[in-house]
Amino acid sequence: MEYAVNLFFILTGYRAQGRPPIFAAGHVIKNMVDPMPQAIVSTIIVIGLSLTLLLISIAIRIYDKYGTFDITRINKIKG
Amino acid sequence: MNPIPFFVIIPLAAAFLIPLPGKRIKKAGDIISVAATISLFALGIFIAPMIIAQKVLIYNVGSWAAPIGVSMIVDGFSVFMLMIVNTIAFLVTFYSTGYIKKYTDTWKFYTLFMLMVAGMNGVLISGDLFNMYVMLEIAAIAGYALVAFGVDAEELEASFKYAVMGAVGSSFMLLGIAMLYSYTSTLNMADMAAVITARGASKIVLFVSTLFIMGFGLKAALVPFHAWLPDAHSSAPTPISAMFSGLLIKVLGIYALSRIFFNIFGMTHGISIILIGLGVISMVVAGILAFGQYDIKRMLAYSSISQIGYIALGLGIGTPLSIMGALFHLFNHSISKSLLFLNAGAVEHSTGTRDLRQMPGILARSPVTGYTNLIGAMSICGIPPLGGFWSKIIIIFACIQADRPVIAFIAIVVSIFTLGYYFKAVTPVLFGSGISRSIDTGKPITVAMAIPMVVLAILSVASVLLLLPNTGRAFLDSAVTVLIKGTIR
Repeated sequence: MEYAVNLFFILTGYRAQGRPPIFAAGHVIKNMVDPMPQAIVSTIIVIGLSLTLLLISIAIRIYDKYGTFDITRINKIKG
Repeated sequence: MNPIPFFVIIPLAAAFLIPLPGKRIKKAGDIISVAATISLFALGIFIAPMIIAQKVLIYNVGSWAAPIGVSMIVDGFSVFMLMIVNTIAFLVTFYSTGYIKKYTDTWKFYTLFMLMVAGMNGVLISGDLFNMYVMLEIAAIAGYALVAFGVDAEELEASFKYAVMGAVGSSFMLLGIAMLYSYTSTLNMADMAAVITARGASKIVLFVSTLFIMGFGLKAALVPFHAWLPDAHSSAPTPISAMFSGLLIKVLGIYALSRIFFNIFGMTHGISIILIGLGVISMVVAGILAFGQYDIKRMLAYSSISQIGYIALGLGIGTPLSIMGALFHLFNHSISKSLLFLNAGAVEHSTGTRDLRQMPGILARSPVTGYTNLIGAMSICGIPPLGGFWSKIIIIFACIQADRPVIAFIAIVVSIFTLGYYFKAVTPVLFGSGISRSIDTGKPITVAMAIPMVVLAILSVASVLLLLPNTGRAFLDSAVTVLIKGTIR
């Protein structure tokens, strides 16, 4: 789901037949791809990585305690 | 020198410094984190008069001007929240130094705690939507890890549930931000508000509103999105429950929601109805569910959802009086709910149980815990001289004034519910005659735990001073005007 959002974000910055947003001597800047979503998406990927690592390490500890990944049997909390 | 970035720099620096000596020197985490939070508290007191005089302070990161660079903005509403966050963070850190000894590796606890404070302060000072999202994720991910800090089966389960739900909520927010960016071509909040006003309302704004209500409503634990909250609050270490209930759901949820809907989109009739609806459902459902709880921390967690409902209701009605009531209720609830969670931790510390049926009665063992618990509970139920009464009655009057008598009636009924379930909880805590089955009983309350409870109890009695003209009122009004005026700056 996160990848879908990332892809969507990148596409919002896309221009048909755009050029990279690099300023160079002798070039006229027109029709360039928006660099902002690319910077943002790289940040989101880092956040997603840390979240995934945290979730996996919690899942490993859950397996230690419950001996299963079956979510119907991970049910000690009630109420 | 501009003081704004220090709200993030200080806790981040503390989070970096704590692990360095943390493994060797046991006390290092205690000392560095108390020093960091006390300097944040002092910074809040230093900045508040400046905001009341100048209305708004802006810091441009890297000296890039506002629409292009990232800006940090502190206005009346931010400084109101910053004061609450940093006061409670300081008291909770102080309490932790007495409480957290029962866990190993306390330096990890303090590092995560400081990251969470940095994230919350970052949300409050950012004037840029994506920057706000990043800070929100820092606070939330530190929160997921802190819920699991005890690594028992229940704690891991609660943390996993919270992390998965939080991640889904964050994805909704991110999709909303992406759509808004493609619509307005800017991420700066003030600029975004100007573009939306110029181009008028469209279907995309409506769709983005829905996404943000799902995302931030999940962080605020409004009722259809509340399932993570009771588990996370009851499983986390007590100082963290106090931080969650007092601050995290308000900063990440209520603050961010009202920033976006009041200051960027502008309040519309539809959003107002949705906020009132969510608020009323939260109040009623959580109020009823709280009756069935026997775990004291679970009951307090449901009570938090119910009180968040009052705040959402006050914001949804949208008149100046109701917004003032909502913000004042937010203040009172932060103070007294943190106090009650710290009390619950002290009760568990000295009796070894959180189950109301086994509660041996705390008043004889520790009068400080007993009386401060009574004051906190009275403030939340709305017993007249205390702050909770005034904020609830302001919200109820605002409902009547806005010609919604049915909702005012529901609010009154729910506040009677509140009195009911607190009566059910406080009586056994104070005078119970149960026998705790735990062997872990009879430990005295340390001084480091007692002082924050007493200070919070005094604050929850004194919070009514915020309503006095010329003193507290300027502080509260500067927050209310920001929301009413609509746009930032």
